[in-house]
Amino acid sequence: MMPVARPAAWDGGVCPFAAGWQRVLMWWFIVGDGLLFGAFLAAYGYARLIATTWPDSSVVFSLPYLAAMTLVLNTSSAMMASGVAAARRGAWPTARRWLLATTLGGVLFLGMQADEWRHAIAAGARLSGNPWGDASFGAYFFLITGFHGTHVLLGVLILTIATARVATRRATPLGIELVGLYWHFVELVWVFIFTLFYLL
Amino acid sequence: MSHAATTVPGHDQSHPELGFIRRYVFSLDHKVIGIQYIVTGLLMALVGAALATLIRLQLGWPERTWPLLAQLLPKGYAGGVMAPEFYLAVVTMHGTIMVFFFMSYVLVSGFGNYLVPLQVGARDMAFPLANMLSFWIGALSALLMIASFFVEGGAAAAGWTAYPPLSAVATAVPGSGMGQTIWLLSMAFFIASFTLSGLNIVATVFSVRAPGMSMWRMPLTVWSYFIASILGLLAFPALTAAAVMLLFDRHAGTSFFLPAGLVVGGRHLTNSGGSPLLWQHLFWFLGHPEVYVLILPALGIACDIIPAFTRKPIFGYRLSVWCLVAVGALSMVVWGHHMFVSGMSPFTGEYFSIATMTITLPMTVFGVNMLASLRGGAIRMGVPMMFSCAVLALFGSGGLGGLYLGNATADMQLTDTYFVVGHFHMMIGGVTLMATFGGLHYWFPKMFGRMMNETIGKAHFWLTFTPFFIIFFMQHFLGIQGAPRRYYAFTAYDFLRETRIQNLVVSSCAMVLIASQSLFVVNFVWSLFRGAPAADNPWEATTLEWTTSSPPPHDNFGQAELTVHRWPYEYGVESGDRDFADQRVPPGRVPVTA
Amino acid sequence: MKGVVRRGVTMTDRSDRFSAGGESVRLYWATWAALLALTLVMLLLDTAPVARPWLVAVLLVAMLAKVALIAGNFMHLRHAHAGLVWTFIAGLLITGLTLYVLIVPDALRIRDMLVNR
Repeated sequence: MMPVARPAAWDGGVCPFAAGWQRVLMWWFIVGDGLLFGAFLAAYGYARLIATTWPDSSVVFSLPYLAAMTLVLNTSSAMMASGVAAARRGAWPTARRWLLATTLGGVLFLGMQADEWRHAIAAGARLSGNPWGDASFGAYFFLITGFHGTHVLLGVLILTIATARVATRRATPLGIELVGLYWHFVELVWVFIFTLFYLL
Repeated sequence: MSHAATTVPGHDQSHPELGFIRRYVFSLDHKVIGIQYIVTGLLMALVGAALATLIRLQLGWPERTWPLLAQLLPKGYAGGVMAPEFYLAVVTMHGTIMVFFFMSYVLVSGFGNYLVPLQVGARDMAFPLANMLSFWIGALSALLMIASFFVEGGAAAAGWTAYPPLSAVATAVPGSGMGQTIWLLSMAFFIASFTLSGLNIVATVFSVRAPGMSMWRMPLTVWSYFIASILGLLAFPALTAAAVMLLFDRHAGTSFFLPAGLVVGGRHLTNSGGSPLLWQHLFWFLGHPEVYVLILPALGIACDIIPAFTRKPIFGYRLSVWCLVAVGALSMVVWGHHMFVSGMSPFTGEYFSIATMTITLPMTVFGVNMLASLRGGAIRMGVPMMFSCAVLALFGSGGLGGLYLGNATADMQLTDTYFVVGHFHMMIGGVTLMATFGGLHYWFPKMFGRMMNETIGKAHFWLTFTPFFIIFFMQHFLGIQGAPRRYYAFTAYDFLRETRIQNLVVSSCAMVLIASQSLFVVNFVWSLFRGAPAADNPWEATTLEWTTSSPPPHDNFGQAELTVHRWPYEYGVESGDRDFADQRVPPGRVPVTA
Repeated sequence: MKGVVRRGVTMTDRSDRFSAGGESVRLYWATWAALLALTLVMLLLDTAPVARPWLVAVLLVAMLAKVALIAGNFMHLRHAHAGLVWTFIAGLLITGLTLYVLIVPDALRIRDMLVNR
């Protein structure tokens, strides 16, 4: 046994991560929620290897439209980061404007996704089958984009509440930063879906 | 049992007097939430034990009719004979309830909530509101699971592992109908509840420790909850995903887990493209870490009880911590050993065998450390210590069976036999059960301010440990003889007829085991109201929870400033008339070891 | 004192140290531009006549670059303690990858059985 414990960064009160519990908790939530998508994507990768007739998704989906969706989410995320920075320096009116813009970006993304779904359904895609190839293709499309869309929807709700709290001066910089972490996480997941589902 | 009586009047501005509802029902206090979890879990254990009784009645006396049960359960026992579908539902629900709603609730969420903030010197969990939500979502989940017995077709019958196609095709067996859907929903709630509580434990351990409480001064109990919570957070999402996909398969026409060409009940299913093996992977990606989520806290609790009763430090504290870390990491990458006969790739089978064997190393080191902690100690044989020794006994003998099951070659023969049943009941059934009882006896004075009765406790110990060991030791041999698990009528097979007498012995011991739990119930309830009043530190232990009153005030440590000066195993030292120094004793009075 | 211990917000917090002025906002929009450029490159590659193994490799690298940009700049991981960075890398990326890598052999086996039937 060590004769004397070292009172270093791992000492009590100061976390080994040098972050308050809110940030630590949020990051672990992100890891857990991310693994939910990890499991969906792993299952999709598995189904795709089994399938003999997996459709070429760049033929099924419009790539320019996909680029536009990505641009919207990406811009929304950058606006969120700017909003967090504004909140940190106490520029609350600026923060409110960024947050509002972020929220609108989220709403726009949801609308675009709904339109994409509408197109796919009109073309005959169902949970049980689709006109392009393996039945799992449509199922995984709706499952994965649907779950991501649900997260965007939840993010939009959280952002709306956060914007209202900024407007009524009840928000804290840390609170806005945690909202930001969630919103960036939603974009992070989209990066995986964009590459692994739409492009590969 | 009054919290207010122990606090200094007027000092506690942050916790004003709360009404009954806010204090005991919708409480934010981690101690109340912990006790709520423990009580819920113990009630669920009664349900699980009742189901075990039905299983053992059927296997012990297969030719008898049960008129009383026919009256109580008219559908399951039509004409006094157990229906085969009902047997499947009973086995499924026994496993589900015991693993998720008894062990998880009492040992992980219950003790975890109660102990972690106290032992790291925090005033509460990091996020008390999420903690309260965790319990109430958990309670809802337990209620849903119970409710599934009463729906059309009865409870789920696809095993606690819910393998498709039995769980995916609603027409497969009666339990595959509504019962399976409710099972899945209940599991989703359970996962949400566990995640909230796990996030809280991780954040509390990382960021809300008292000054001086470095990671290397945390008791092994806290370490075990910390690692178990991380495992749960990393592993549960896979089951969430799988449960969502299974719900889609059942209700939305997808084929995630259903391959082409399935025929169920003479009807050709139109599904195609799925793979039942995928469910097995996703399930066991959770399922294997889950057994460590249950067993690590059991070992941690035993490691904290042992030093208090041997009056010497735990042996190899840091090594034990690293063993826990190693076991946690390895447990995430060995899940395939549950699937050796599923037709998995022989390459991954080989890998999973080797990785599983590797787990033996840290686990053996940990076990030997526990044994070495007994050596040379002035052992006081209190009830918690007896249960801790039982933890060691079951951990050793049960772990031996794991060597056979982790090896693909041996597992091909033993899988899905009673060898497996015996093995996991000794490990996640027995080690955890013994630690639960040990922990309840040990912390009961802290929780309720009264001692539990020693005499009844000892009688309960012997009447629990002895039949438990006989039952599951014998089941190993039933397995070697080839008796498959989940079979309803072993008398229908020639090669199993000679196991008649073994099953009779097992069933008789099971009846003794279950009946003797009434001793515990009596002891628990009686001590709650009539037990001898407990001192603040009745076991002369060193961890922080013993430095506050019994029961502790709402903010755990009152107004006193809390600084930790030493590691949690300072036993066998000169400290006035005492042979120990709790973690708050400053270095000037007793030299600091670690 | 009690409030400090309970809430744990006044602790030393390294990620609080990052500058919150106009400089970091510039960094965010530079990140935005980099992400946009990567997205366009990925989409162009997808339509270009590139051999499939190369395409997969390049796309995965580009994906990880985007992940690093978002996590590092937007989510401030580059200012965070190494432990938090590893929580993200080991907890999310490596765990997810482990799940996939260990189920791939089974998928390939099933595909072989279906093809050779």
